[in-house]
Amino acid sequence: MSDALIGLSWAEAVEQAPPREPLSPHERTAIITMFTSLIDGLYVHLPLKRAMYGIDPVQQLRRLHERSRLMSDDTFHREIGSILTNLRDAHTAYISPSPLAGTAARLPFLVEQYGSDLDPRFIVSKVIRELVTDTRFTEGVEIIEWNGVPIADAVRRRGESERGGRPDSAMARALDSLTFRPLGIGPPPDERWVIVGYRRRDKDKLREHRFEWRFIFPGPAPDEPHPTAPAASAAAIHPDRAMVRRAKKLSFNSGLWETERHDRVAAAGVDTAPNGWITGQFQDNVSARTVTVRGRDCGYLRLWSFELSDDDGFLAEVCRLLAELPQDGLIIDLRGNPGGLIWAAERLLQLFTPRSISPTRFSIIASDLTRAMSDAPQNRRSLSPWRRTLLDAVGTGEVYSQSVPITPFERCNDIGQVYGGPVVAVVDSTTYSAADLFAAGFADNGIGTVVSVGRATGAGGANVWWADTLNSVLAGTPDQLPRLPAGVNFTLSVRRATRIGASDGAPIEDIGIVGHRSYAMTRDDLLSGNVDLLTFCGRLIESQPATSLVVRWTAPMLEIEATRLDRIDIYVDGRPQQTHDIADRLKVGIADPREEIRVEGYSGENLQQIRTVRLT
Amino acid sequence: MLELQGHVVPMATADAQQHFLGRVRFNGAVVDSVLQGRHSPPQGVTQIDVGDAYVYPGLTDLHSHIGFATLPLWHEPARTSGPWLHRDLWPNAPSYKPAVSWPAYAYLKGAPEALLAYAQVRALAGGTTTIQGWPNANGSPANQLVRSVDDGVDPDSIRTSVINLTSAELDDRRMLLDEGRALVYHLAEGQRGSKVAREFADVATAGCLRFRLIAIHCCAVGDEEFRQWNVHADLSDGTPPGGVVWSPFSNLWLYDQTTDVIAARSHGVSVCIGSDWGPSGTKNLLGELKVAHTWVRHAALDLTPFDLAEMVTANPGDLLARAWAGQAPGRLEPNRMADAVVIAKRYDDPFTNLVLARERDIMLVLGDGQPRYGTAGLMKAAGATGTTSMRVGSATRQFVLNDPADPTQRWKWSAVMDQLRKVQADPMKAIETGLALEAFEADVTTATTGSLILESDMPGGPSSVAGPPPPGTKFDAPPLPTLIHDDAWFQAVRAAGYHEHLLDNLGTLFAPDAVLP
Repeated sequence: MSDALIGLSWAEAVEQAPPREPLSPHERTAIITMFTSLIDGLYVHLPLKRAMYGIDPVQQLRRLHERSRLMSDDTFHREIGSILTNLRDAHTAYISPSPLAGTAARLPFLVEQYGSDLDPRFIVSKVIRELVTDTRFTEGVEIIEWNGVPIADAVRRRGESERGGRPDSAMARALDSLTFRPLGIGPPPDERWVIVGYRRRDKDKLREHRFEWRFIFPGPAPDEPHPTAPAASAAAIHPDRAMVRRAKKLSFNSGLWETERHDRVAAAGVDTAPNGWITGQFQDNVSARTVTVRGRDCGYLRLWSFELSDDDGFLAEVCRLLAELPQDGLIIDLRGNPGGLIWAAERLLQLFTPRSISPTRFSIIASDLTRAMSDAPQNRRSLSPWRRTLLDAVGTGEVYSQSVPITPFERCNDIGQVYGGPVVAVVDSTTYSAADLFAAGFADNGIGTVVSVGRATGAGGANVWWADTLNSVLAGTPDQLPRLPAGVNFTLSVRRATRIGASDGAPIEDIGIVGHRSYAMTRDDLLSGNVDLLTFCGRLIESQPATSLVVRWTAPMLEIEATRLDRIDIYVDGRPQQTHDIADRLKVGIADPREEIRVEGYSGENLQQIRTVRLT
Repeated sequence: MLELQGHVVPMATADAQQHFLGRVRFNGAVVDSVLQGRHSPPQGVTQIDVGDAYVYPGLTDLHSHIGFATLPLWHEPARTSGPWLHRDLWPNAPSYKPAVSWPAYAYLKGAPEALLAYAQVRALAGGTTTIQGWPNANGSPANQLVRSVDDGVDPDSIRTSVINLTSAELDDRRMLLDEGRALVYHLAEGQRGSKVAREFADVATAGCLRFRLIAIHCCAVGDEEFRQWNVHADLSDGTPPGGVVWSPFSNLWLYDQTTDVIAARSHGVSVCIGSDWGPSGTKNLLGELKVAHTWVRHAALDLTPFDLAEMVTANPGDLLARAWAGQAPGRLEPNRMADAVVIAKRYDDPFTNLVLARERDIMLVLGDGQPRYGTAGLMKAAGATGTTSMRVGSATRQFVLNDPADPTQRWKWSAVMDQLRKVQADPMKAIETGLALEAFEADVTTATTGSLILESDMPGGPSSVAGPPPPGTKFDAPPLPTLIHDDAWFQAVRAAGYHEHLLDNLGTLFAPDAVLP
């Protein structure tokens, strides 16, 4: 067992933590002034949060300014963190210069919930066997008490201190935080240990075991973008959830975690054979396998995270995985996906539909700060779509700029449909940010059914920027950031996402994407690889009338195989060239194609499939 | 209490094919009991003996647009390219607005009370006691003779939509379905595989293929889609799927195709029959039953007269019971709604008798236990007073109408018809008068008169199916049709439509000596 997996005890973690410089009065003032300016002039959800929660963070910051001289450093950081936490926006976080920043406090097991929200049951779904001395404490035991408090009450109380608007979303994060706490973004646990009351079966007597918190270093994702790279300005991520995801990976799949730290390419092969997973260079983001549901093979695409910087590479990888899966039905699982690169999430949608994808729109709050930001020389190109209406807002009184996609329409449609079978997406209340956007695009572009475990997705509807990104974007403006004390960092929601299609203009923040169907997890789901959930999705897929289209190009002949399609239209280099009725297969000659051959398959009048053969 | 004694066909849940000489006793608006054998009534029970006539549950028509009941059959004379592909096309035909949407608007605005009286009497003449497709109204009409599906028991229990819903609207309807309400939705109306088939896929995606979905038409989809509905209802509700409303006349008239009802039934989808509207429908369920039978023979479907009888009684009743907390018409069983229709006996098999029934065979209609329509003798026996009458072929039928201008007074049928003829004679003037009255009602400085204001259940606006004519338009409203299936109507059926002459001989099924081959 590796040292990374074992982690440090509380005493060891504190002992190894680097010393921290005390804050000067000037630094405190600079931090408060900076946040006052950013929240008032740049924080995109301020009107919503004021309306929904009746809060006034700007006034709270002014009040803090008056009192801050009398505070200890710890109290000061906690107060700043509390003001941002009260926004109930997981995108907007204060990272204090904690000696434990970058570590995660962890207990050696995972608690998950099943059943309805009204009567949830909590069981241990994973255990790090080597770190638990109580041999009776195994996967499947039911948690009854947490430090003597009934477990449901303990989770609810944790939820009250979690960031994030919707109660069920906060509760889901609270459940995670029972055994995993990302430090720096949040405070360390108050208690050094936890006494867990559990039962193996309903009628067993209650047993207790004491678990000590230990501290691990999950590290960044393998392809996480640098904060000043272009991709960083297109981020939509829940930073806590991203860290917890990494911490879980270290805890329950430590071999893969160790390997990917040293060699991303080698890590691609680690987890393939045993469970039938197919992975590649983006194994931290996506993996796939074939699942058999009611005797029928379906594809299962697990989108773990969009934390990456190379969206082209990611899409190529997903195309490769899709080609290896059964083609007549796919389950896309985004549960627990904390988000990441918006471009990756939105461009992915095109692979599953013959229709053009409309991406989500984003707007910026109209203020002197954002007008100056959009006019700054370094931003004139990247923010030009928003600039005109930000300037116009002085006269029109609009609260927000025009809504504009962050992922250009052309990029959302530059590959086209790759997978032609019916598709179901599974989300839950920890599906967040860029994954929220994927779910919104999936529903609003009519790609397929969204199955929601719980009420909806996590409801993170913004493009989030880190302090480093803001530092470069605001450079030279009246609101440029001060030099921050070592260890201080933050994230801020800057561009607000609104939906398209029939839900045009509806915000995602604090609402989320309500699934077309809701689903309550079962005990068997938690202990037997989502068996009931997969059956539910498999039946949805199986019930859907499916078509298929396979196209093979061997110049000068195009070979086409189709199922349940009536007509094929062929476009060569963008121009219509042939149309044919089709039963099951067809072979036609194509004269002098130069760039691409596009084949459209219709059932009756309805476009069902598109395949594009690129020749260049 | 009121009791009908005759040959009872209760369509009972336990054995729907059972029928017997007996009695149905009504306690106010609900069925009290169903008893076998002929007996004198106990004290306090008024018995009406209908001899050997059949006593059925009141019929339920789950697909109508009663705001269009005063219009005759419509066919686009300029069209040469055959049946329409789907429902979004024919409203753009050159003759559609002057022949359908503008006159309909004139009746809605110019004579709202008379329009509803006419439509309800037309339904009663076919034995219908519950009907779907009411126009939107600012209040209750002076005469509520037939129960409204749309607003009947609880206005919130059932939502209806004639137009295609967006995905956001479907999301909203899914939440209503989750809450136990029902959705009556025009869905996938057109030829098989036409673009409206996409509507069904959208409903599936939105999670609305449910227990309480009542889908009208679904003729553009087939076996796979009905199977999908079965699976989705099971996954969502652990129940069988909802129902589809089959309107064969309208489908064949416009598209020369109709719903695959065998596929629907094979996947547990309950099939009901609906008469649709004046421009492309039959006049009441008696007409639609005969069209359904004609299609059954033509397509060699495995459906019996009993199956068809269920489609206008028990099946729609049971679907409504899902939304109305168990209350519903459709079966003569204790605590069901006290709706019944008495039909003269012409055939030994009661289900054949229903399928071949003519308007003149309708002897009595009870709704909510009250006499709504019937022969003079039976109406009087049931306690109706102050009736007015109309001719039904060579017979006369009576009913009770209250005068909207003075609800303490009765309203003569001739006065109703006079109002409608006035609209027909000068529809633009009727619109102007009606809109002026609405403006007066809307004026906050004047006292309201309580006049009924109707808006069509069809969409208005730029692509209007039911909108007003542009100012200054001149058009002639078509003549008022009769309320029954008569020679003029059979002639109109033979002269047009896309049914490939399949319905040319529909009149033979209305003949006195008609038989079911």
